[in-house]
Amino acid sequence: MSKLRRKVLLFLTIASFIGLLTLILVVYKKPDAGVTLSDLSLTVVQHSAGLVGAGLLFTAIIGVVFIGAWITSGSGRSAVDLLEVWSLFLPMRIQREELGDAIEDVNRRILEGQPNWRIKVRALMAIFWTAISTIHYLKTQVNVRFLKRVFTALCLLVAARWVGSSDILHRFYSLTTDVAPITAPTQPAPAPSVDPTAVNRQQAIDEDSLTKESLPKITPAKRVLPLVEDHSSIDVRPTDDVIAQPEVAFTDKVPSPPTVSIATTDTSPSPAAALTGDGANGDSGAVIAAPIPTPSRPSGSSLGLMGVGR
Amino acid sequence: MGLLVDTKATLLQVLIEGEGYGLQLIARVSERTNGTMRLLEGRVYPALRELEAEGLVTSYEAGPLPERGGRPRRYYKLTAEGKRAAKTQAKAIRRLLTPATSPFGGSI
Repeated sequence: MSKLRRKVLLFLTIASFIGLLTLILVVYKKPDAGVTLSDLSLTVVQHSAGLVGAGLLFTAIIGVVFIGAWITSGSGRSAVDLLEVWSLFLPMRIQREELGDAIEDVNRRILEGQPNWRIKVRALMAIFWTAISTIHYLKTQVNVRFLKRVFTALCLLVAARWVGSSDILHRFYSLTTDVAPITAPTQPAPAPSVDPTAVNRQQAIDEDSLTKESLPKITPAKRVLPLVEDHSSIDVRPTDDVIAQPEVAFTDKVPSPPTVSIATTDTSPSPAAALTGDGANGDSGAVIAAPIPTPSRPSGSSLGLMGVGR
Repeated sequence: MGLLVDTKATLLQVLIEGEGYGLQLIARVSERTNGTMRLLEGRVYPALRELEAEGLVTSYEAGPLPERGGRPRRYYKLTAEGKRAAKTQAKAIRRLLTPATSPFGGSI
């Protein structure tokens, strides 16, 4: 083998190794690996099919180059060596019978003085046919039904990995165990309940606009917004160049306080209960009619902070 | 285009001559048909295994050979049932290939 050819083969080996490593990185860490690739690679890695296609194409090109370089160089004995290495991956019967016949045929061709490329093509054909025959042989030896289930399970696991759907996992479970998939026990929908914290937050925002009568009976909660009770402790000194203005324009009309009405197990059918389920039939009939008002002005207690200087 | 004949039927016919191993059986078919028929080795070995599973042929391994890298040859030969099946099949093929006679005495 010439020096140049050796260098080309070494370069191709390193390139194929780096390419395959990059593809593996892209598959498992798509966003991170994609950043460092070129624009073309970025476009390819954004699609899984394109990524697989590029990987196959790359491997095929490298394979064709390698096989071409191998066929056109070296002696026919390397074909026998290749078949001997290939025999390590085959079942005993296949490697003794079929591969033995192929090695015998290759040795006969070498003794006849046939061209090297023909001997190597014969070796490659033997590799191909023994691979096919191995699949056929294993199919007869292993339970086909078991193989089908394993293959289906692998496909579904891959699909579930990409889709992330729990339905696929349920289907996988039912296929591999022959029983109905486990489903979560159906529970009756919980009755609408009042979230005390939510009401407390609403109360803190709009404390002034709510009356005690309209509030539901809840346990006292801590205030969310800080309130300043002592106005005298605040030191507000307006400067000359900055005239502080109140940040919120007050309107003369104070909006009417929104109502919060909670009707739980009300025996008398009300219009609201008629919409959501009447309490007479046993439904909880809980209705929360509490429109969330947008804060139109700050609360009175916080005016000491904002209305300054006037 | 090669002849469209079943691989198993062909192997049964060439095994009537005597036992043989895979490579030898392929060469025998090629010789008997003057190279018209060439069995693919990817089909021969699975077909031989199927014939063995059906009880029509039996196989045994000979001693290891250096030209095979120390591997033995596996020879196949017909069983009694296989011989009957091969003869019945040969008669059927001959009848199929014989031109039909017309009611007036000549061939069609």
